[in-house]
Amino acid sequence: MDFSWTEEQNALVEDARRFAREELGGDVVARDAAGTFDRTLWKRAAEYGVLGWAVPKEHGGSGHDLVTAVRLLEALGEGCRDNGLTFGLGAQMWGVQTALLHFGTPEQIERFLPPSLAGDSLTAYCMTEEGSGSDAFGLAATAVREGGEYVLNADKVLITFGPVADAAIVFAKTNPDAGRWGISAFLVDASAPGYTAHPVEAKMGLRTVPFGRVTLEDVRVPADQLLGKEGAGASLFTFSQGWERSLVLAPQLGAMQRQIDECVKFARTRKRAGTSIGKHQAVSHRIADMKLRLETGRLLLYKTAWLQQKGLPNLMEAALTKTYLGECFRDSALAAIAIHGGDGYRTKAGIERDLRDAIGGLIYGGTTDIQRNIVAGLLGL
Amino acid sequence: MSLEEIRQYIQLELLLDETAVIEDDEDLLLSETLDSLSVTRLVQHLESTLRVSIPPEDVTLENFQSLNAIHAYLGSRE
Repeated sequence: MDFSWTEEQNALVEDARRFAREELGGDVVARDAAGTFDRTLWKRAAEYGVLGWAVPKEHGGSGHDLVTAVRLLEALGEGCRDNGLTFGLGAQMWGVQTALLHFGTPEQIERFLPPSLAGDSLTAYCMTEEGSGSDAFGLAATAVREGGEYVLNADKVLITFGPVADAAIVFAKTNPDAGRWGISAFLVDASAPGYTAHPVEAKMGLRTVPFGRVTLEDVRVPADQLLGKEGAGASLFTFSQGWERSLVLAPQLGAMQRQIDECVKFARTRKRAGTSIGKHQAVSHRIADMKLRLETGRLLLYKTAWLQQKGLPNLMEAALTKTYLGECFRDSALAAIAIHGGDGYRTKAGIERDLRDAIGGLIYGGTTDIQRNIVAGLLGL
Repeated sequence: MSLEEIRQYIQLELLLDETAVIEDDEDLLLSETLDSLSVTRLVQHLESTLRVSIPPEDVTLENFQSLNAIHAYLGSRE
């Protein structure tokens, strides 16, 4: 086993960290408080090439292997303090682009991918409904074929980029009698008559990326905007969720590195009775545990990405990665607050925001309970 | 892979019930005999055992609804 990186990879990572620190900053505390998505930053990230890191060169990306891509995202998460922005980038890369690249026709890819890579178009992934969260396939949305079109009716909630998306992948039943096997996916223009993007919903964390409700009332979608075969929606969802589960938390590793650096700095300089608080084991052990979470999480993520790159089964590793990284980020964010004390609790320092942002990682893309169900099932239980 | 081998894998590994009766044409999907994780495990087992790649877009009702359907689909991949 070789843990070394090439000079080229290291240079890319270093530059990605610099870019994120210098270009993706801004006043994230204010944006978080206001719940504002900054499309300028999104465009800047796209121009740097972030959205194309894992896209093959023939489709306009830079064609990095997945281990390199996740390491770049890790650097992005370390340099950029806006966890909402980095989550949004990952959701677009793994949820939307992989579905489009794998299931899309050449015409669909040609139409929808270039504006996505350029940061000019955001695509919402419309699966969740009020009555179907973890029971993702228990949806009520319908798509009825009428001549050369499908007529879609849907009420989707908790949709990332829902309020601002330019297009959407919408899951709906084309055969209501066939349960999950009667679900199909559609590429829908947000400008289509009957498509409504509702206002941004307030939420606990990740406030700089907009979530919201999307409704479709008799939206007519040309049949050539069916994504994948009719009835393959569940397979498409399982496929893209596998990618997202495996890789979406990569930026959080970078955020955990940033937390450690800041906690070490604080613990070395903050004095109590003339002694640095880092000399107290109640503090230093917390930071040692943060380092342990980072290193073990990193190994798990890289292995999962490597398996994905090789096309080898990684269902178990992906579920473990999603669970472990999500819980590690939560625990380290809590530790960072404890170490910083009052400063950690104040919003203006930005330390408490990591904890609020971390909670989302335990829920989106399949809750940690669902991930444990997968692990247990794969163990033969 | 024979139809019988597929049946045995489902009985022993997915249902954990070697006495489960699964008819050749019995529906496995709409009846929820196999949930989504079980289907994924079955696909991975078929891929690793037969050294074939089963594209996710092929995992449909048509190809996986029954033992006969799975067997026929695998036959078409040879």
